[in-house]
Amino acid sequence: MKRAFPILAVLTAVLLSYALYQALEVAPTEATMGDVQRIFYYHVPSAWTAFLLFLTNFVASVVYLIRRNTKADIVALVSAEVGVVFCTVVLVTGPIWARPVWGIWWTWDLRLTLTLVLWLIYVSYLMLRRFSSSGQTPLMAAVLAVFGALDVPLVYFSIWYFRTQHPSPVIGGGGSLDPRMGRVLLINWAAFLCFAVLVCWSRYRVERLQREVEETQALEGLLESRGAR
Amino acid sequence: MNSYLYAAYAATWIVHIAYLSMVSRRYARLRRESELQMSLPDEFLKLVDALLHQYEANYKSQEFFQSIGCLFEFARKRGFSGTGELVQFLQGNSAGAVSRLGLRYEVSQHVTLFEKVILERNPALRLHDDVRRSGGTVAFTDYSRDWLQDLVRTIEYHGLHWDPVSGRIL
Repeated sequence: MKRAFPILAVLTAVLLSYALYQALEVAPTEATMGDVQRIFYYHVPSAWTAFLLFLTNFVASVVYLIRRNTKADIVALVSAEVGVVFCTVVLVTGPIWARPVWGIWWTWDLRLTLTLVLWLIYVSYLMLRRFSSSGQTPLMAAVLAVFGALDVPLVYFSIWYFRTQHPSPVIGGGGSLDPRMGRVLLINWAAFLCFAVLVCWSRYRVERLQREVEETQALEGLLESRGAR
Repeated sequence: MNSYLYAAYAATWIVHIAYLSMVSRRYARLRRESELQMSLPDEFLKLVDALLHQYEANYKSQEFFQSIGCLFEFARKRGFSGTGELVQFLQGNSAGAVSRLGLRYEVSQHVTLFEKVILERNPALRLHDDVRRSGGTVAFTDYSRDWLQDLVRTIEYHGLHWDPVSGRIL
């Protein structure tokens, strides 16, 4: 496993560079939007990766609720945190695309609003984990995650079943994406998925280390308190 | 190329790099704290001594072996992975008491500083040649989560009190 991490890091760096080259140079220029459409190759893969991470958070939270498994709790925390980072990218790149195309940075469109709510739910999840000192924090967080995950399908399918200003789905749902664009989109998604795995892996190790350090600090405190008695 | 495009790509990597730098700063801080915790505190060594003093009188009690198991786990958390000859010695003399506790073991090939500390401070253990000849090391891997409370409770269960100042069980 120790060797796998640097290998994955190198592979991810190569894949991200290749994906960037594909997005900037190989993908055809969209007829009406021009080059600004290429934001799509970062925006959409980031959104899909965020959805997958929130799904992972949901599954890990359910496992934690059933088994009270510490590893599941750490996976839930890590996937939510990295998911929020990817969701932040979505919320930042979306308005940068919207300004030249729609003429506005933001509109309270259903898809956009639900995505912002999704981000807020998982930020509140992380705030709960960060600032609650209760022993029940993982349990409360797991319950919040289960309810929070309900927003993921709402966000995803909002452009399928409702008329919104956000563009219609490009894959499935009657979308007609140029096959060359579709290929570049999938390459970018693969690159961002590898990157997400790498970041989650690093964050998992940091969380394990943090728990060990805190546990030892607690034990030392206990030792000292026994000595002081 | 469009400036909005570059702004979006740059913003993406600013977000990711900001997060990664936060994670790596936290990792560096935790590593420093973890390394500081590696040194065995005096209280711990005193507790080892105190428990080993108890050994002759109580080696057949389950609570004693639980205490030893907890202690070894504490040592492992502090970076000392093996408990070696001491555990084998205990196993060799306890007629299955350890296995009755349902504790699991894993074989490790390292003789650690922890073992050296114990052996240096308790030379009597060196007398058991049959243990030393057997080679290999064994470490406890299964333990009570609230092991230190268990340890202190165990001592108190025997009507005793551990004094961390003198390092003796009174």
